[in-house]
Amino acid sequence: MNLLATLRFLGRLLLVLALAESFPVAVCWFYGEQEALVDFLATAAATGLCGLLLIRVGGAGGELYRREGIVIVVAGWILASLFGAVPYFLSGEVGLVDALFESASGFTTTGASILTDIESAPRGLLFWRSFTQWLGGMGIIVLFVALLPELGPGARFLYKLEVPGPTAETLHPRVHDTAAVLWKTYLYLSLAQVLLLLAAGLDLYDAMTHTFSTLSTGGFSPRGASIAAFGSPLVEVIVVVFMVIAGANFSLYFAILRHRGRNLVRDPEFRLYVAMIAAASGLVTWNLMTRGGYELLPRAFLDALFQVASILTTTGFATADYDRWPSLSRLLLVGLMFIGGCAGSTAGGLKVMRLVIGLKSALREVRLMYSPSTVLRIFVGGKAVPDAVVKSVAGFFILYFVSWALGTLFLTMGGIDLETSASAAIATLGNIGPGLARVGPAQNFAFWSDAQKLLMVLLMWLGRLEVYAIAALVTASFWRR
Amino acid sequence: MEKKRYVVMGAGEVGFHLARTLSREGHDVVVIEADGDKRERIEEIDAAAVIGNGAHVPVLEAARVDRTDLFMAVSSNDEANLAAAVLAKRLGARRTVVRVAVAEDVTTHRRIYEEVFGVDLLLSTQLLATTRILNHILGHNTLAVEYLARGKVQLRKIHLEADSVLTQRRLRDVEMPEGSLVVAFFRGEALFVPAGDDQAEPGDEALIVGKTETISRTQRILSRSPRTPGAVVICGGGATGETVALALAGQVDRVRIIETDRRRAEELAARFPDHEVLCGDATDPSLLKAERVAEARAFLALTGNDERNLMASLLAQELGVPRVIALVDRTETSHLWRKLGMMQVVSPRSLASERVREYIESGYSANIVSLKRGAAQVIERRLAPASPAAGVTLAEMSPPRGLIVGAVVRGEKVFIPRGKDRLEVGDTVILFVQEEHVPTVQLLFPGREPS
Repeated sequence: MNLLATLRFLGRLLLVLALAESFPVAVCWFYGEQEALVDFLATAAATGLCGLLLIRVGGAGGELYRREGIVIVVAGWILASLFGAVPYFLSGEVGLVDALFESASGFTTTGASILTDIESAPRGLLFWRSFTQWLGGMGIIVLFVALLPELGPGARFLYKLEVPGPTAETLHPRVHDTAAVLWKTYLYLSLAQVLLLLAAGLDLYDAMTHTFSTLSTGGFSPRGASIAAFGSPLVEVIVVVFMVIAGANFSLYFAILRHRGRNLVRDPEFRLYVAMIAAASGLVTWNLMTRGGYELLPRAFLDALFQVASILTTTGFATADYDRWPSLSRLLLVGLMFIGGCAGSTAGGLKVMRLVIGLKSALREVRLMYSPSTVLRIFVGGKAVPDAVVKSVAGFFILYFVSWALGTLFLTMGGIDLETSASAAIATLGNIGPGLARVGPAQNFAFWSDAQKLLMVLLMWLGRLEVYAIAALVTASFWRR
Repeated sequence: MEKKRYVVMGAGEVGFHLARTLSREGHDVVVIEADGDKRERIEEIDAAAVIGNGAHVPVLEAARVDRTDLFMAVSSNDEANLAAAVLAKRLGARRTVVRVAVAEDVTTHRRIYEEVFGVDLLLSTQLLATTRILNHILGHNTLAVEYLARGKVQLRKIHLEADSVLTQRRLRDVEMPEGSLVVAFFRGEALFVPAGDDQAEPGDEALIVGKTETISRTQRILSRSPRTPGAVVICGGGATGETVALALAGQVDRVRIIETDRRRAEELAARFPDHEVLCGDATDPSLLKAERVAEARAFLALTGNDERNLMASLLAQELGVPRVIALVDRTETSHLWRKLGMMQVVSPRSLASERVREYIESGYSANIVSLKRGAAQVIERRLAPASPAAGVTLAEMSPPRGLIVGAVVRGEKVFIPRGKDRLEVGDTVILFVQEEHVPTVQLLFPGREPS
């Protein structure tokens, strides 16, 4: 374990964070929010100083290997959440734990909130809230790898640790270029959505903040009523489209830029993902029309589509209180929470790709029951999946469900009902945001005890970093010399 | 017969077999061999032995390659063969034959090898064995195959019996599948380009051109051979097994490959999603029984080990597989195999030496069409902007009867052109040309052969 190199790296990460924290200063200045402006300046200065200190302590540093990589990624996310919490705390609106919850919920693109009266908060702070989601969506480590070309061989491992999915594709021979391409794609898509939302009649502030939380599949909104606040089907459609885009593998968009648009249509994971959205929306629409008290088919369909896309992509925006929907629809949405988006997207959850590999692997075991000498490979889109990946997928399922089960167990301890606890656990672990019952889309997370909020922060980190990295840190042999 | 001087590099199975036959015919044969222990064996067949690495100039000089008509680099080492061929040619050998292992080098990349290494005949033992095995199990009568347009198009010479539709109906009444064309019939020594009214006779040979994906289907229709039902079991997933498995894809109901090595089996399973790969020992009767190999239509023993092939074939025969084909490396023992009741024994080595002898007998023509001494040839041309054929439909061009545009390759697409099809700049055309029309080709399609 090369502690000094790790510290130096984390110090540089904090410098980037300090830079990010100075963006809201401009927003505060524009809206004349003096107090918030000072808060952000102070936060940025403190983050920057801590960064410089760590770099100083770290000295010249050295090579990064796997262990350092794991520590950097996990510690990086913890530090970002901690320093990102400072503005919430300084604003005086929330306590320390609540501030950390809100910050972690932002960076991990969960979108669960403890704010009870969102619209009374300073606009600069709400801008930061959405901005953290945008940073966390494509990933702070990936951003870091994209910004710094000289990270060396360790960078590839860092990248793989943060990019979600069973395998992280690299589009360029150099991981720095891959990360840069991904961030560029992300940036262009963001620009496109901002322009479309402006055209749909939103002001720049609303357009930007909602773009941040759409493309990152975060789900924070500076409006109390979320996307429903605009009362515009056009805005809803734009948001649906970009949620779906954000929930798919970003390397496919890179392929489009390279005039290989067919890759998108042919990608097996993307096809299944779109098929799931279509099927679930259809089923929910039918359920809403027959049992949900909806009168108009277009309204029922748009609400169904929006909620399904929002949950499957783990965004967590709401245009309807799906908690009041019939049981079938609610159950379907919970099912989608577990699945999540595609590998290489900004979405959370188990990922469609893992589901496919997991199911195929289970079917393979069935077949091996009666013909044990057959050699069966698992194919996705005509390509054989390496067995190491299949194994890691199986392991991931176990760890994911254990995390969810233990989380639920701990949340019910305070006497909270099962539906609330179980859905809150998956809503945070899957980086979705809203759950059912007391954590439904019209509710918030303020009522939980501090210990439970901290547990949910842990679940959010576990979900965002896909369990393995954090699990590695708590195994004894990791630290053994 | 005129006495010639030949140099063979490599006294392995192929080289040795070749050297012996040539020497028996009364030619002077020099064998270059790295292993000094083989000297006596070489000298026994009345050939001169030069001990050393054939890819070294002094060794080639000692073998006097400057005085040979044909230098045959047929050792089991591809790189050495290629290097030796280039050097030998530079030192004055008139023609070179090079043996490579992988079939794809011949089917797809032949032209590059020919160009870069000055190879006159490139052959792959794997490919020869595969063609022969396919004949056996698919009931094809393929005499020779030529791969064109980077393997996308094939030209096949097939033997016609009375059961073929081509011998029963006039050509215009034969329903040819899309993507294939009959370009010529051979009758005795004569070659003619058939018109719609023509009909082949039993014993004729036909030349068909077609897309690689569909030509086997065409051949099945032409030879009226029933589609082979059931499974084909391939024992041994080495290079030959893999090539055969690839060629069988889509030709039979099911292909099952038995491979001993776990890692190799996984590779094959990844390569062939539609085939079934079993990991196990094909000489283990309980495996063959458990996997119900007896129900297979054909069993191919294609491991690199003669003894294992023998063992597996005997077991398969015992289990009642109707057709058993075994690969044999040691050419001297193949007659013993036949004694054991193996109906079909394929020896890649003797196939290779047969191919070389065919090449020599044809007067050094590697092209399968011009086996009949320059009567016709196949020419591949890329359409240059200046070409008069560019932008013209086939009907407008109305080429003479002895000039057939057999296939057009446009990007990744291959098609057999009809009258209304227009040729475009950049297309690669495959032309079948009778000797007297070669000047017309130069006129219509100026330029060089694409590589």
